[in-house]
Amino acid sequence: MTRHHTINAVISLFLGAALLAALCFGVMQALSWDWSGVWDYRQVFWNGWLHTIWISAAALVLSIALGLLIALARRSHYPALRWFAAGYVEVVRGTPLLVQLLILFYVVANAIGLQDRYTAGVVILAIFSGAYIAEMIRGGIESVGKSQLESARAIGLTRAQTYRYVIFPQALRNILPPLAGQAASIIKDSSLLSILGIEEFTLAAQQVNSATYSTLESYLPLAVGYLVLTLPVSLFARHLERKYRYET
Amino acid sequence: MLLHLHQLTKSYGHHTVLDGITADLDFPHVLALLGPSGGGKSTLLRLIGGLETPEQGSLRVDGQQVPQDEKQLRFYRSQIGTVFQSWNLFPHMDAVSNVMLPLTAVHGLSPDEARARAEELLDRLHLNGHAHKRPAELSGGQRQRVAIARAVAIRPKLLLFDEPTSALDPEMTAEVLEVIADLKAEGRTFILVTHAMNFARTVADEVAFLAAGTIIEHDSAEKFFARPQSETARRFLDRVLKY
Repeated sequence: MTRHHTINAVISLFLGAALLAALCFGVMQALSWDWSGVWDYRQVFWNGWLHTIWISAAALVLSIALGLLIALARRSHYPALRWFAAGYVEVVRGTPLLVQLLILFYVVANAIGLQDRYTAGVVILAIFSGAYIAEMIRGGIESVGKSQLESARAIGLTRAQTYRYVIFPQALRNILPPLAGQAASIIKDSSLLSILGIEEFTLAAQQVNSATYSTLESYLPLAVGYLVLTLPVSLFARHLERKYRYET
Repeated sequence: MLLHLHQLTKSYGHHTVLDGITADLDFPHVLALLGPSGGGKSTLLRLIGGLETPEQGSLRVDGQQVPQDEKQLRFYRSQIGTVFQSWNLFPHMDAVSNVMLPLTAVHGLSPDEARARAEELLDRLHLNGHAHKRPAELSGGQRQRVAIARAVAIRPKLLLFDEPTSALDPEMTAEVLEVIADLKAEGRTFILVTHAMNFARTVADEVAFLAAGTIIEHDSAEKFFARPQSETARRFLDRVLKY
């Protein structure tokens, strides 16, 4: 079964790559592309790509921490905490990331004197993604059956111990697959940080484009660069989904 | 063991499950709670186990008032071993870890002490060779015996069994009942809610018969099964012992 899946995946990947190559070749023939200008700027691409990686990684770590806190707050005994957490999730999920970037960067970060645009960018991205992760964690926690909580109560575990020994280990299998998917989303969403002048991958491509005037040659590496990052993450998410589905 | 129930009342919404029960239940080792479904047996057991609190009235177990405050309740529950109908083992832990968790997390044993005690108990319940299997890899009867090991391992002053064999087939029922009978032979004290009447007759010292949210009668098991006093109990026994 697993081997069958692997062979299928390899074949589809190969077919996909062949198709893409054929397409590129065809388009290149038609347009007679010129890569020489863009090649001179390869270092700009490389730096931008590396920035995208660390910005996404930092935002992911921060948003997991934030999501966990918000998920716990939504299950808190204190109504004020619950309302705050619910409000946060609804506001963030109900507005576009672009709008959040503009408001949080030009209004809030400005007002509190946060000068470093990279820090601000990472934090804003984490605030955005944290709302989605909070819902994943909440769903994972709520998927743990009532009888499990009763068992934990019966043996005398405290609330914290119940989370640690009973809820989190079981919730994790439900949280990990969508979380891996969210990691891919963060990588893609980080491209919007280019509007704040953060020199990540997308801004790098825009800079190369304006310097060389070769639009397609600037933006095709951009798409490929993102795919190189998101494809393994998505495949990993798919793998986790399958693994946990069969295990139960 | 003496259970003192005074005006004990519990309801869910508008549905009254226990309707102001007052009784003193005195039994050397084993008390069986019997009666028709929905009569309040399991709810009474859950109040005794500190898993629920009554709306009104009080409950004393062996002279100790069952607390209402969550922190004290947690300590109270940790002194009692509860076995549920559907075992409620932790599915992500193997058998021995299930038994060890309350020992290390609640009762302050070192992992080595806890492991030694857990393995010894699993051996005694004929589960040698299954210690490192997760619940999903065990049969229903084996799971229930692991659950019993988990409840017994803490050396509770009182064990509670809530229909421990209702989810099992006859053969597995037999292996679990055997273990429970062994616990009595060891001199342990427990309260049992069960539909296995013949088992209750052999293992119980005392019987309390509950129907419609109240204790209709309570007596020694011998007398109850020979000559039930109330019409309700007589009809119940006639029906369940007929086949």
